[in-house]
Amino acid sequence: MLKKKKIDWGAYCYLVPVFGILLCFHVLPIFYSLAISFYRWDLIGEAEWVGLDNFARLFDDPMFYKSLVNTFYYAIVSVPLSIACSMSIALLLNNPISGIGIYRTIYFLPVITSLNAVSIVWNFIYHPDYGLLNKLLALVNLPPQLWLQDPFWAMPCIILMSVWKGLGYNVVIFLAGLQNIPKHLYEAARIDGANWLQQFRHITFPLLSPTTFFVFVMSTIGSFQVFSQIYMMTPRGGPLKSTMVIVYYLYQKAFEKFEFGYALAIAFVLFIMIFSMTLFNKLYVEKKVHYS
Amino acid sequence: MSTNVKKPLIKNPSHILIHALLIAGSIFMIFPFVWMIMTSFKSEDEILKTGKTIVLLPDQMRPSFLNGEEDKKRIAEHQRQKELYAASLASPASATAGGKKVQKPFEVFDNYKEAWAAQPFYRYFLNTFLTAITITTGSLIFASLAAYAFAFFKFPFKDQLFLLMLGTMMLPQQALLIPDYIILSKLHWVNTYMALIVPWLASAYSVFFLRQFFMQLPKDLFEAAMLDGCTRLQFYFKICLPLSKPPMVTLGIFSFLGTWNSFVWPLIVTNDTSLRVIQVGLSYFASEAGTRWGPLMAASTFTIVPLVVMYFLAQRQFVESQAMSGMKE
Amino acid sequence: MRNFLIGVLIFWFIVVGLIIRDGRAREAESLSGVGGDAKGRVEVVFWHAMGGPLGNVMDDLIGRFNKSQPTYFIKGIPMGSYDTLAKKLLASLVAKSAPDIAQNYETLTKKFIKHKKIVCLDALLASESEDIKADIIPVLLDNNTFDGKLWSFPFNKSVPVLYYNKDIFRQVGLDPEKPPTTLTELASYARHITRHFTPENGGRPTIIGFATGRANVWMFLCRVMQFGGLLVDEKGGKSHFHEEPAVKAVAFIQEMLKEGIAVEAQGFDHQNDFKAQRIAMIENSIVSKVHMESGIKFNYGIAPLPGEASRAVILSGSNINIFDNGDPDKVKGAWEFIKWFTSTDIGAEWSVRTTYVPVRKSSLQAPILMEALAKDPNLRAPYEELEYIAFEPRLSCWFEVRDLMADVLERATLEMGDPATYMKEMSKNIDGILRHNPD
Repeated sequence: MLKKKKIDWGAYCYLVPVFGILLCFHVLPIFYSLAISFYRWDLIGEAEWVGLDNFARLFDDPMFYKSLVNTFYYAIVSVPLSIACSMSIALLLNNPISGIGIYRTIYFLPVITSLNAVSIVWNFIYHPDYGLLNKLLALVNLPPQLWLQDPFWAMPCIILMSVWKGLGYNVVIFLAGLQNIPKHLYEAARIDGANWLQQFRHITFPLLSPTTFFVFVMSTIGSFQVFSQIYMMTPRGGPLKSTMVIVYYLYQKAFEKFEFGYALAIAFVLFIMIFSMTLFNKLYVEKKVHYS
Repeated sequence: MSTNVKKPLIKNPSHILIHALLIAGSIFMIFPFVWMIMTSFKSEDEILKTGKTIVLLPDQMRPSFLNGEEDKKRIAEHQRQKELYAASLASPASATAGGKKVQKPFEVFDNYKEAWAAQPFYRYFLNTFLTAITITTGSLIFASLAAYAFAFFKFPFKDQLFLLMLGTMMLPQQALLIPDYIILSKLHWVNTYMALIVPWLASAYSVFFLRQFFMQLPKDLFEAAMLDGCTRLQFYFKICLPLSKPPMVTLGIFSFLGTWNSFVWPLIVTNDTSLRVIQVGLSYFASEAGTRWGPLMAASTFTIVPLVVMYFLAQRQFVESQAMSGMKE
Repeated sequence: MRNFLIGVLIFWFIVVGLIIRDGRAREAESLSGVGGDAKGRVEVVFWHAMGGPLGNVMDDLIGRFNKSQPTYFIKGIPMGSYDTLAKKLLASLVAKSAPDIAQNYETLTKKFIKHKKIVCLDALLASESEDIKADIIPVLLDNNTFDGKLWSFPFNKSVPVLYYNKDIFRQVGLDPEKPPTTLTELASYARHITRHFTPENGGRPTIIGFATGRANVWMFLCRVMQFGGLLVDEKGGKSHFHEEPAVKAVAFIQEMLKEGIAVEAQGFDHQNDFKAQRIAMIENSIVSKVHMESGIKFNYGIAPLPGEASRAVILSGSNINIFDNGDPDKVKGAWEFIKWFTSTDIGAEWSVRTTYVPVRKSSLQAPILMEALAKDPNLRAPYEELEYIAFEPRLSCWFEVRDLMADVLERATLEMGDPATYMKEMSKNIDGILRHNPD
């Protein structure tokens, strides 16, 4: 305890490897990117200082608004859907039934596969002519759809696939959360004659809320950065740009249209959005969370 | 969880409903994979068949009593092709039938053979294993050291550094690609294994995750050990690491998966074929094969299978760790 | 746990060992051609986008060049697609680690000229005893000449053609040796075929006459020219899409779609439909022949695209740039390779094996090409089209213009509104882009 007055240089040694790499490949580039967002730069020529022009342009860019709307659409549908599904599955799996291991593996299977590979598979499933989905519809005499090529259906298709892909991850986290709920609470509730629904409302849901909050925050951050499946499954941002999301838009601006400064301006607006949303969640939503 | 499984199977009627729901969900989860594997064994004729019927099993694997009229026709045609081809091999004179060269008829593993030969996938697998194992072990060591410091030590700027670290998770990776690339080129690391590995040895998420875990360990334990003359490094090796096996396994699996499945980064930072990883190879193959679904499904299958196998191997550890770690904010 | 870690460590060493072994194997292979290192020769790095069957031909030719002379070693690196290639080129230019040669579109060439990233080929051509320029097919020469100077070399240029199913033609009573030559004919053939395969009770036709790609800018531009129209002026920044021919081009496909005698497909899906004999005629690049061939189990023909007011078709594919990396030896090596690759005989062989048009006029008379044409009449179409080939405007904002066109074309066939309105809007927006990017 006497050592406390000296600066503890030793402690920093433990941080050196991680922070060395983070500084070099994450922190520095962030500042570099921020700097570039004040320039017009096509990657090949010299960068030209334009001040806040890139940010000002954003407000007049209809495609930017469109990408915002699409991103919110994706987030608002996929996050609650994924949480509802994975929580239900976790609740089902939290029963003393046989075959838990098998179920758990099956639900986790999509998580361990790459988005690249499963996007190829789902592309085929959604194919209007040879796809499984239209064949299933035909079985029940429903008309075939264009799915990923249809401006209405493209986003729901992406969402369905994304939920399928990420479900297992959340199931595992919810299961871990459920394990932490003391068993005696249920026993007491049962003695009091509470039925299944009452138990869920008064014990499971509130005590699971820290986990739910964690899943909610992480899924929201993830859903605002959705990119790979859009890139792999709907070229050019989908039919009538119906799956054009923010990260895809910034990717397209940077690597297809070579407006690098503008792309990074988009990235920073996104960063601020995610940051403030996380802050909002932390400050207001977390108040509703029940910590034991 | 494991204790639940060992309980005697109770014939509870509500369990039937639970099983029904879980099985329905399982079918939805697993069917895309089944469809992928089945398609990978089908010939183009079978794949490009439209119409109402759903044929799950490939022609060459299906028991004959399941064949419909159309299937029988296609199988007969395939048989004829086979005979023609055999004849053309026997006598080169009959190598052209009706002015067209006799094509080699489809065999079950043709899609796999074609996909495997189209790219040096063998090397891609080796590269992927190398980067994934190195990154997983390396990042776990580095992250646990940092998390240990954040959890137990007191030092100036601790909170600021922690916040800075969390902040790095919030900017999309696409925005950092070019600056990172420039830094790599300054280090002369572009197109080397270093570029694939080093930047990923630090994971803010892992540090965060492990810190949360270490915070749960009793602080008194640490202080008592320090008073007993135990060095900090000793405490880390003798107490912290053995206790943190569950979260380490979880992180290890996710780190391995993340590296195995990473795509955009390796695509940009390496050029040579000999440095490519599996996802880059798969995407190159996908743009080559276009809409040839058979070989595409075969390639997807063999990029997924090693992961599934490894998951089964690590699963026991993983399940335990999940049960123990719990998510406490 | 300890056993697990030891296992991981052992596995790691095995992987490293296998990588080293694989590296040695590649080196050994390099003695016989592609791959491996330069072995004391001047190494010229070549990034290309040739994959699949085209990549095999490319590897073969690169290997033969490396064996043909002792001074230079071409290291060919396939980049999967033009898209990836362009991205990697840009990244490498930022990091000043560009390859020595790369395939490229005109739009990027223009940017590269502006920022002095590539070598002008005029000096290299002047150092040759042979007058190579005089032997280059004129349209290809023009396509690569910017302000009077040759900045890139034509390399793998393709043309669109019409693929048609001869068996279906025969079945419906059309002459399989007489594919449609005008757009009017194309529509009437498509109508005839579709009707023939429409069930009596009015269900969905089992075979549809014609298919093209959705929002396919290339085919749209071809049709605009076939209706006698102009595209975008390279100088002066004005587009002509509000004029009659462009409106007709959109109306043409809209009407066929409405009538149900044509379908639009995403990407290359119509190739599959053609292979599966659900579509009788498709328009596509001649290079698709190489990719489709193995899957076609019927008699098919390849014809020049039908025309109307004129028979214009537009070039696609890429040229080759030599990057200015400050090493004259590499530039020399790059040039030697390009010269060899596009020479009369090798150029003809490349053309026959990949269906790309040859660069040199003399290649058209080469024995290997003549033989191939006699053997496979389906190879003929691109050579017939050579007379009336045009190319897309070479503007540095062309990618953006193309993207915009694709958006409008997509809407035109999804919403089926009035073609003139779409074209007016397209023209206006393109003019807007051109105003900001005058070159």
